[in-house]
Amino acid sequence: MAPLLEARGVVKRFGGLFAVRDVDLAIEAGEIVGLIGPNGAGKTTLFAVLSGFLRPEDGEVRFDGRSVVGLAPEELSRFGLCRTFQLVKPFGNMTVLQNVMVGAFLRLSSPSNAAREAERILEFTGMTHLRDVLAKTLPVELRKRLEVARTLATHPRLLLLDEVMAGLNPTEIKGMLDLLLTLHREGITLFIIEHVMAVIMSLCQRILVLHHGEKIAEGSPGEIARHPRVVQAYLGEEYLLA
Amino acid sequence: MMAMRDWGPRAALVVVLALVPLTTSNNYYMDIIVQVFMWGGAATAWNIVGGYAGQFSLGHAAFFGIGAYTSSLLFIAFGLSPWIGMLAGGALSALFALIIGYLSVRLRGPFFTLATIALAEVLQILAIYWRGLTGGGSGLLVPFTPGVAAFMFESKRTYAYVGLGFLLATLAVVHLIERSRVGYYLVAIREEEDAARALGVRVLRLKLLAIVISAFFTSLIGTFYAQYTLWVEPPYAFSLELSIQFALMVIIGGLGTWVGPLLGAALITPLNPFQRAWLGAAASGLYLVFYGLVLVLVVLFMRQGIAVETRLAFRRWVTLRRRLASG
Repeated sequence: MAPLLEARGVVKRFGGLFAVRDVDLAIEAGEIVGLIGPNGAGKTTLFAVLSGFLRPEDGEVRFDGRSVVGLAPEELSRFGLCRTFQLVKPFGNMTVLQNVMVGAFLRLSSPSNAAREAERILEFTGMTHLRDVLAKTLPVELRKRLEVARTLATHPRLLLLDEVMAGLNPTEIKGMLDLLLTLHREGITLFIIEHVMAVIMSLCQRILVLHHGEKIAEGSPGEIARHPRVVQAYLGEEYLLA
Repeated sequence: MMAMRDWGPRAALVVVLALVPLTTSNNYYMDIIVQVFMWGGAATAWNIVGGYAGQFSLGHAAFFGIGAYTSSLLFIAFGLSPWIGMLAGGALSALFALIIGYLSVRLRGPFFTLATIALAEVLQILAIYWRGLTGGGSGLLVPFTPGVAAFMFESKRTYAYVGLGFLLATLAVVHLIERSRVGYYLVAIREEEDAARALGVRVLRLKLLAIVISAFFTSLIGTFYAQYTLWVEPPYAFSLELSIQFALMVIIGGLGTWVGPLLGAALITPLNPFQRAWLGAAASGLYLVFYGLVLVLVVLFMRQGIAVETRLAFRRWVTLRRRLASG
């Protein structure tokens, strides 16, 4: 069976600079895959290409067997591929419920059905008590949670999560981790960018490492931790030699 | 975007509006009432694009002018009833909005605004120089032949009720939009366009829908204006001043609120520069002082517009009373 998401030779340049260079990847349905790399490695750019926000200069992206290069994000979300943003983008002047309803409207056209579905999602994500709060008044943890809740309402098959743990304290990270594991149990495939290594190591079955836009390693958390090129990329050459 | 409990206040407002023209038979006051309904309708139509969808158009005078000119020209040249000419103008404006929208809604923020200004300016220049069709800079006089089919009335009160009909039709459309998926999507686009796209909102299509609906109703009000004043001239009908007026009324009344544009129109119209004649020579220029004062006060104390701030103040008052009552 073909992988749920597959990319071959993806290239994204900004001017003369390669943000993503010749990246291959495959994600099977039901996996949790991590994407790591130093700052500026091209992780978010790769997500933007995979989710249709940026068009690659070269390469092929297939979702569920069909080629999706050139398709806009609003079309990809219909197939079940949905992303969150590193810098969260709540609809500030809408309530938490209305934020989630916007996601639910993808599958349901009537406001009353969308509201019912949104209520269900809020309960699932533990945000029911916040339903009538304006999104702009939420603290960062809840904004991140809302970002996930909103994408959930679109009934995604694959979620691209861009640093949903960044800026959270250890208790909040634990809460988000539990939520992600619940999503995974519900059958949603997860592809996540994360800087919090403990999270990546405990959550992911497989990890891809990006450095200067290129994939330099791929493997299980244990393999990645020992991979010489990864250690070098993160800690510098001297550390490796010492 | 609001709950069903708004039905009551909205129905009550409609009843009050219907009674307003009965409160006076003075032509000066009746003229203000007609204008409040007319500008309230235009501002409500602008609000669909500028308020709900957050696309700040300063070119809506273009649609207003197309409406005014199309129905008037068809009436003068072919004796076609302005009621039908109005629909032709509306269709033309909608088509125009679709083309211009397709070219410009990809532009974000100030660039969209600049594109809309340019559009109205181009039409204004065309209207001035295409004398054979439009009468050029001296404008178009619509001969007064009162009658229902000719959309002309002896009494200003009749105009007030016809204007009210236009206002209510526009308000009804906005009411329906607010309660539909389209309404939620437009607000989501205004708040965070990229996040909306990630959730499957077809941004281009929705912006076009908003601008087409808005242009259609603005165009109808343009026809109403022509039938009321019986004189259309390019320097006014396509002016930036007029486009700014639509936007200002909505900003003062409350962007993206149902009743805000009408409140803004009710406040601004009596102070309107086009009312200067009534203030007389002694107070010449005084209207500008009032105009400026209202703007400054709103910007300082009611940043979200009268509709939103009043609702917030009311809520604070209710909470305070409850707290006092419970000791």
